[in-house]
Amino acid sequence: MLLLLRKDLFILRYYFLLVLLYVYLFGFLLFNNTSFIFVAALSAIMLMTISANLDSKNKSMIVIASLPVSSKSIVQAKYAAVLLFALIGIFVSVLVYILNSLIVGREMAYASSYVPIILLIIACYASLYYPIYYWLGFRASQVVSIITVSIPLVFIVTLSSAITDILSFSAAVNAAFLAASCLLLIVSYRLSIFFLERKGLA
Amino acid sequence: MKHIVYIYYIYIKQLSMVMQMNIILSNASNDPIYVQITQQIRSLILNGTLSSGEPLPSIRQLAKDLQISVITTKRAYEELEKEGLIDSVVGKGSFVTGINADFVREQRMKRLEQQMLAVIKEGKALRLSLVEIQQHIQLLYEEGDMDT
Amino acid sequence: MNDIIKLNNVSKQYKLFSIEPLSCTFKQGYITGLIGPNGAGKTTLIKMIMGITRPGTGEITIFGQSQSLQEAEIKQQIGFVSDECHYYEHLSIQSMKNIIAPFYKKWDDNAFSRLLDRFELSPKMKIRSLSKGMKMKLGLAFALSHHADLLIMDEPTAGLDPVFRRELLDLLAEIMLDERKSIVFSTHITTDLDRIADYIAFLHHGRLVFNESKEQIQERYVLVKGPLSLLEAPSVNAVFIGVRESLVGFEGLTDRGHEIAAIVGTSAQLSRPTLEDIMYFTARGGKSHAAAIT
Repeated sequence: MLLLLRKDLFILRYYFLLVLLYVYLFGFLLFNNTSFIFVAALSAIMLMTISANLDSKNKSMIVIASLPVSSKSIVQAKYAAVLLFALIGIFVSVLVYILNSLIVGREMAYASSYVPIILLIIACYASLYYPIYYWLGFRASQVVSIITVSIPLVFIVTLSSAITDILSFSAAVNAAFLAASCLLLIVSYRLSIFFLERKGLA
Repeated sequence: MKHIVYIYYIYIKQLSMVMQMNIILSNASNDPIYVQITQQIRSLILNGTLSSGEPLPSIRQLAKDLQISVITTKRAYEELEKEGLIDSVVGKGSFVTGINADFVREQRMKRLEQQMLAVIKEGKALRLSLVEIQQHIQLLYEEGDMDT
Repeated sequence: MNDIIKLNNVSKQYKLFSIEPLSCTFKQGYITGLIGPNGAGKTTLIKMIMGITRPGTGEITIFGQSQSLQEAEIKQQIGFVSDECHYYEHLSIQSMKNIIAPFYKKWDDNAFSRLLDRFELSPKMKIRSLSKGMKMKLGLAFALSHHADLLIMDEPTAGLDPVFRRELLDLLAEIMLDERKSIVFSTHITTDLDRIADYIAFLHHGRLVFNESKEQIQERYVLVKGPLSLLEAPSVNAVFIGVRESLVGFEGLTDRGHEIAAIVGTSAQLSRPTLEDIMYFTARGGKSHAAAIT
């Protein structure tokens, strides 16, 4: 499983720059109160999408399937990647925060709820994406994810000018967000395994 | 010193003589491939090209060299083993059996007999009498004498 | 002689195509060729053996272990080459090797380098710059560099020039010098198998027509060429699996090799069919033959 995770990171290499481009766009140029959330979630989601794209474009599934790994570990690696990409996204947001205050001299909006919200968004995306990927294939998951993710994101962006510090919730709500993220991922993982067993890898 | 050099020379010569066997297969022949191999190895043994005790290539090496199936070479060697011409030792390979001139002669006589029977059978089918067949053979025998 | 792969009642249903429940075994130490026309189910069968697709019914046992339960362990010892093996285009061969090598306990870097040399590939080459043939060679290099005991090849020679195909056969024969190795080789280019295969499994319309040694097949199947008049006798006609009639005679395939000489006598010419002949005439004969054999 770890080797597969390593593989996923390895193939992303230069595409990180593409992600940074969008980070610049949304973290500096289109700066607003939700930037911290947006940059983190977008980075993670982009990494997930690019990774899936690479596997699909290169039709590498057969090679991966011939490696001495169980099909379960293939799915496990995907979900481990989700967590890793989430961490990377948050890390990037923190960097943007620091750069904004040091270089641009402005304070980026941040509240303790932001991280749970980021994780929830990422969990929603991944929980929807992967089961559909294993059930209906790459195309279907692309379509579904574009629809289900772009709508709320566009929503957030357009509303963000009206939002001052609405996105700050009590510790209990934060905990609920985190729990919901975990739950979504676990259920989604089980579903992915189920579809994989039924349909196979290719 | 001379003795050592001499012994070494014999050793090298033995090594270079090993696997001097040539087997040529024909696609056009109606004989199955294993039969062709058996025939050719048999000839090589009976006419002395392969001497007794000499090792034969392993069935897999032969299969690779001839670019054919291992099952075919295996079958060919099994046939030769049945005829007593080769011995297969597990782990060591196959070797030409210890045969002497009498044995070779006996084998060749057997083959000659089979050919004679075939001649007789065909002769009878063509309704030739024994005398006619004998006359024919005499003619050919003497023609052969004049050639050689 | 061990069975390296055992299929027990394995079947698969797709919308437009299915594989009938079939049971067969592949023997260790030999090259088994899997032949059949396009769409016969060869690739599906291989995918099921590799665990890429799950069988609808039945079990697959490899090296005596259950495919579904010990997938990862089994694949340590399998080298897989396929027409559909694609590597990441934006990587170099070296990078791809760095991804793949750690997966295998018995990975042999020296063997890999030697193979790259033999195939005239350089580790620095980008995968997107490789031709189809070179990609296939790369796949072979990967498959042969971890001391795999079983080599499974799905259409490995499709798209390769005839020169390299012959060299590939030489390479395979070299591998087979070790009697612990086994090769399963699926192809519709049967001339390759005519030479080196030991066993042949013939798949037709999702059905296993036969799985026998090439020797047995060559004894059983006979190609008959004769005058059209010969076909008129029903006893003769019944003997053929498939027939091709023309204005100047007919060509037919029979699987009653031992009886055919007695039946047609000297009125027809008998010869050994190639695997291609067997595939062609079985397809001509249609479903009736496949049903009769099973």
